[in-house]
Amino acid sequence: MQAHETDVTSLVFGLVFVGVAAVWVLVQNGVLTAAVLPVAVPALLVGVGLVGVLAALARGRRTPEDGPRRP
Amino acid sequence: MVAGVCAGVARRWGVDPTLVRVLTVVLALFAGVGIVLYALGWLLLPEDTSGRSLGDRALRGGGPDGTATVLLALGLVLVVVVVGLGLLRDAWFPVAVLAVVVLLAAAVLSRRPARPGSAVPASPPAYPYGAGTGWGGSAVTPPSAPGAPWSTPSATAPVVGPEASGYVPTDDPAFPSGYRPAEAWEPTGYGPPAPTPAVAPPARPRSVLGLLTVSAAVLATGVLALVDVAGADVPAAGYLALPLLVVGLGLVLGAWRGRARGLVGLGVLLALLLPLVAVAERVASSDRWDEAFIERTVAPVSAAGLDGRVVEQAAGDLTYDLSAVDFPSGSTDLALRVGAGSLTVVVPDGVTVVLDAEVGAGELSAFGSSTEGAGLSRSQRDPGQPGAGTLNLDVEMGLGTVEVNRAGA
Repeated sequence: MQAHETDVTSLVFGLVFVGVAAVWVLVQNGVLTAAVLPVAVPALLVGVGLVGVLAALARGRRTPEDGPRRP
Repeated sequence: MVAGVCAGVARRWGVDPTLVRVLTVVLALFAGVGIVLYALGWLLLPEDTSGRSLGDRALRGGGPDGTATVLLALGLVLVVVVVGLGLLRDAWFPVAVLAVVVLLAAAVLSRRPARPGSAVPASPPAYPYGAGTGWGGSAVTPPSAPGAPWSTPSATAPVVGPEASGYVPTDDPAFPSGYRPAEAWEPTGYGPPAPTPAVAPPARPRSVLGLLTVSAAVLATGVLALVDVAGADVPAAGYLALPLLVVGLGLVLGAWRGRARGLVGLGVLLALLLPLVAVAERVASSDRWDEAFIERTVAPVSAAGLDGRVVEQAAGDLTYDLSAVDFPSGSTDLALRVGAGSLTVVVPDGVTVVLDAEVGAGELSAFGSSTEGAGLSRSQRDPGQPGAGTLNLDVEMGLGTVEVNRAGA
């Protein structure tokens, strides 16, 4: 498996899935109560979304030639 | 001997085939693990004659028999896992989940975007990521076309020699660890903007990551099932959370190494199922369940305090008997709401009833006429004696049956 430029899609979905599984584990083990879920799940989405936005921006900065060039 | 897997493994490891066969049979006795391994070996180990595995042939279209045999082997895995685990332990739910995972893996494995020589001249630019799977577009691979400057030797050179019969599936030459760099699938990466070959851009060598992750997820789920069988307390939702975790980790890895976007679909499904199962499990094991699911009969004897009342019940059977109530001449509003179960309302003969009923799914029966199905809704006025009062009856039921009848009926 070769290294490559950050694939934001894979990153975001992967983090969401890991996060959902982690939330379940925490709730299952009593670390989080179910009452926290309405906050924990949106917080997870916000966190992952931020990571995705930052990764996309970082990627865009590294490869400025991407996209149609405008004068 | 079915497909000679034991002998092949024995030769590879340099041991007596009998030993492997006995081991397989012993493992088969333990919840059919041996049979599962045999089927996996059948699927993934390369054959002597072709040097390619069954799965490889099926994936790359090595003849019409390949797909059928793969399905046969996977079906064997499925049946054995379901029957073996289900019989050994009264745990049908985890087994069903496991079966779903195996089926999904089979579906992912059997995806073939394009066959070599098929009529479709597969224009990869329209599908920059193949079919979205780690193995997408693998069948149309001119490996060293000029547009793929970074094509790696490992991705294109066929593995020959003893290594070709690698036992571990990930070593299988059927799934070479090829990867086409970002520039190849997003044509304006860094470096000189190569003149994009408009007609036939080179397809990427497939990445091993997708298969690796799915295999790891299946493996982890299987191990979890074994732990469960061995007596540990494994919650049912764990059978979804564990593969979800593995799939997520595989995708995170795929953000920088390899390519496995096809895992997203599998992950979405697991992520959607996980909360459902977790909630159902929690509700079913909760002490409150017994309280929530109750049978209740309410029979008010006077209209006092009835007007404007809203009666709610999460689940269970609610009977609201108004037959003893003498409704005043005005109008009385009453709302009855049940989440799931049954609701029976008995109204006295004299009163005029204005019924407004909604049933999410189930049966709605009022004043002698009955309807079944989903999204039932009825507004009905059933006149009583002239000059009698009016009962505005608002009924809502999520899932179940609603019955509204006259006391005399």
